[in-house]
Amino acid sequence: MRKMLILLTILIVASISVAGNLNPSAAPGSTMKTLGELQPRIPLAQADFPKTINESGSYYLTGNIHISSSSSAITIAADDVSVDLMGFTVSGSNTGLGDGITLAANKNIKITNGTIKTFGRCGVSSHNDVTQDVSLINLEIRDNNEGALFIRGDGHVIESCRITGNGEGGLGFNAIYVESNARIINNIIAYNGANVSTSGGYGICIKAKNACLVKGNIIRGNFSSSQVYRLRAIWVEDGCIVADNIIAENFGSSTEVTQSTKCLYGEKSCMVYRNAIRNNGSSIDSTDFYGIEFGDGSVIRENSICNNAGSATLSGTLYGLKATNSVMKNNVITNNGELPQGLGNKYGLYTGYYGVLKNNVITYHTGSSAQNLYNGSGCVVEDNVAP
Amino acid sequence: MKNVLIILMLLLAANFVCAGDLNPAAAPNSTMKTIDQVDPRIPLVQTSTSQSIKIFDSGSYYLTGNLTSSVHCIMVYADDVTIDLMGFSLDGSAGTLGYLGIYFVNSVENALIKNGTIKNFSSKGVYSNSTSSKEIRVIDMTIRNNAGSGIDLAGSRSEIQNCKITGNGSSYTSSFYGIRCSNSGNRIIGNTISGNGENCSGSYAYGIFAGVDSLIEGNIISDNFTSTTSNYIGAVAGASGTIITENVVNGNFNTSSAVSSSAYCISAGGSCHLNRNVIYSNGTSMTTGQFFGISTIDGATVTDNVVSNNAGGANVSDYLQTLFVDTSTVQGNGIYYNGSSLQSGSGPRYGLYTNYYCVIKDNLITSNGTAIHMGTPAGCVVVDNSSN
Repeated sequence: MRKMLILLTILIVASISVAGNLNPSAAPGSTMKTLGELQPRIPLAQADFPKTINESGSYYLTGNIHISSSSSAITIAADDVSVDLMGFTVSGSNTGLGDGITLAANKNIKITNGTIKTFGRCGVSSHNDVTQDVSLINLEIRDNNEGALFIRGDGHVIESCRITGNGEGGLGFNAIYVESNARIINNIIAYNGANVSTSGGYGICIKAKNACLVKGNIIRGNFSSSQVYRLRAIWVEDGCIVADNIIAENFGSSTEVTQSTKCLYGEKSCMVYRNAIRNNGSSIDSTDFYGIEFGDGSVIRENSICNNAGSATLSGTLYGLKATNSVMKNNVITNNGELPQGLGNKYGLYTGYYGVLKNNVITYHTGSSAQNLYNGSGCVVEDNVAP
Repeated sequence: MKNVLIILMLLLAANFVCAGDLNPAAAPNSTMKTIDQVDPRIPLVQTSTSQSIKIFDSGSYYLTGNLTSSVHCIMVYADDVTIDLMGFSLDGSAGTLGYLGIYFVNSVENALIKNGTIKNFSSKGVYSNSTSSKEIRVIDMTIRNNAGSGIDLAGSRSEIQNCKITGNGSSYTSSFYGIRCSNSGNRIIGNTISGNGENCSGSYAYGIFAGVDSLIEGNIISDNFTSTTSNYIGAVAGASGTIITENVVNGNFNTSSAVSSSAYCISAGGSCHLNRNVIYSNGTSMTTGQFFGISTIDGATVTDNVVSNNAGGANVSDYLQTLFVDTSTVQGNGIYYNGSSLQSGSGPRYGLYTNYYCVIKDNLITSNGTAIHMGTPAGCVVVDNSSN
């Protein structure tokens, strides 16, 4: 019996010892990551909004954000700020003068990857010309009351954004407004500015100032049923490159324009290459209508300007392509102003003086005051098809 | 005794029960992730602002916040390194002379720097001094307000894309480059180089400088080198075999820049393609020996460029050649209104200047002084140009 007792005691002790140490192990060593290392950027959640960012750094959204007041959702008042919307949406209430994001006089701001919609003013705006180097990349800017992206100052990049349904029923509108040295690349600007009504305002899809690169944008279906002072799909100033843009089906459904309508307009010394301008202003009521117009010292080649202003009412002149003192080569300009009403003159390609006009196809601009090709003095005119 | 036995047996049984299953639990099933699976990259840890972060092993690294540094901030010694700045900044404002933002110390191969800002360093933003380095890429970066060059890579096959290089090299006394990729086969695409080199005075000052067989595409080079006194100054320079296309060169060398030798908006070696660039309003009121809108030599194609409104009101003591080229094709360019109102004492100005063997066709060359100058015998084909 005593032996049995000893044996049982040994078994109990042994069974306790094989159960191992039940105390928790030591704290994680230095090879572990803190939460701050795992996601070092600064989170922004609904409770933080409206939010003013006063310190440089890298911020991100943790969910959708809605602003019920008329203020801006985010105000950025520091240099070197990056905001990743993480695929989420920042929405307003279509009231007041708030923006999705308002920028101050700062530099090096980057906003990426999400949706900004239904604000009383703009998606993103800066009204300060000291703002520099803003990058807006992969954003959806939708259904805001005034502009979509209105960014004063130099050196901005707007790339791969979708801009739709903004400015409806408003008082004039810029889908994208930037100043000098900007890159506006691969954006879609569609169905903005419907039913705009203003006696003195402009309707503009892209406005850029000097030395900008405007490339690869699709501008389609904007400014239907609107009444504005002037209309421009793209408007650049001096020294820009404008290439590979599609401008189609804009200014439809009885749009009325007090002054001129220009699909692609630039001032002087620009390179204008491989743009497609098709079927704009099909029933517009305007004074003058231009497919493309540029100033002195430009090179304009391989653009197509077709079937615009088909049934328009134009009290002034229609120009498919107008430029002076420029190179115009390999453009196709056809069937513009096919059935206009009240039209003065109609030109496929018009140049005042000097210029190289070669290898263009300019056809089907017909009527009593119509001309496929007009050129003033000092031009080289060779190898065009212009019956 | 019997009772003691029963108690001991119960204790023994209970002990086995409370000890639980001593076999290890099953491995986490496939829906679970370890911390290293969530982010397997290596955080960069700075021990103090006066200590550089040194990377000796290949791998993928990232920043966990803004860093301030009084020395070289990050030094890379290894091949195959990625550094993601995660939207944060390296700030060298605490440093004295000669410190770099990111320094590739040895010859390295395959490095990527992306997504952040490097600012206020007392020397260059990103630097590699080894000509045998290969494939260093700098993408989506802002390099601003550093005392020296923005990005200076001595190796080959470098790639600089979607970067903003602004406000660097102010009053810099050595040669300055916004972006320099000295060796062969580089891609420099979609960058903005703006507001650099104000008052700089080193021998050379360039916005972009690339070695042979490089691609320089879609960059904006603007408003650089105001009040500069370097010997040679340029917006874009590419060595032989380089393609230079769709760049905007605007507003450089203005406001009292005084260059003792030459100012080039775009210069290129032999066998280059220069297409669809816009060169506008550079060199306004500057002082220089020679001024060139585009300068290239044998075997080039120069097509569809706009060269306009440059060197207005300048003092060009030797000559102004808006476009200089030999043994090349020159077609469809708009060369307009360059060298208007040159200061008295300036040399002659030319729209297009060639010594020999060019096809000069379909160009607009108006309001540039002498429209076309050719050597004797020139051996050129000159047809269908609109000029005055």
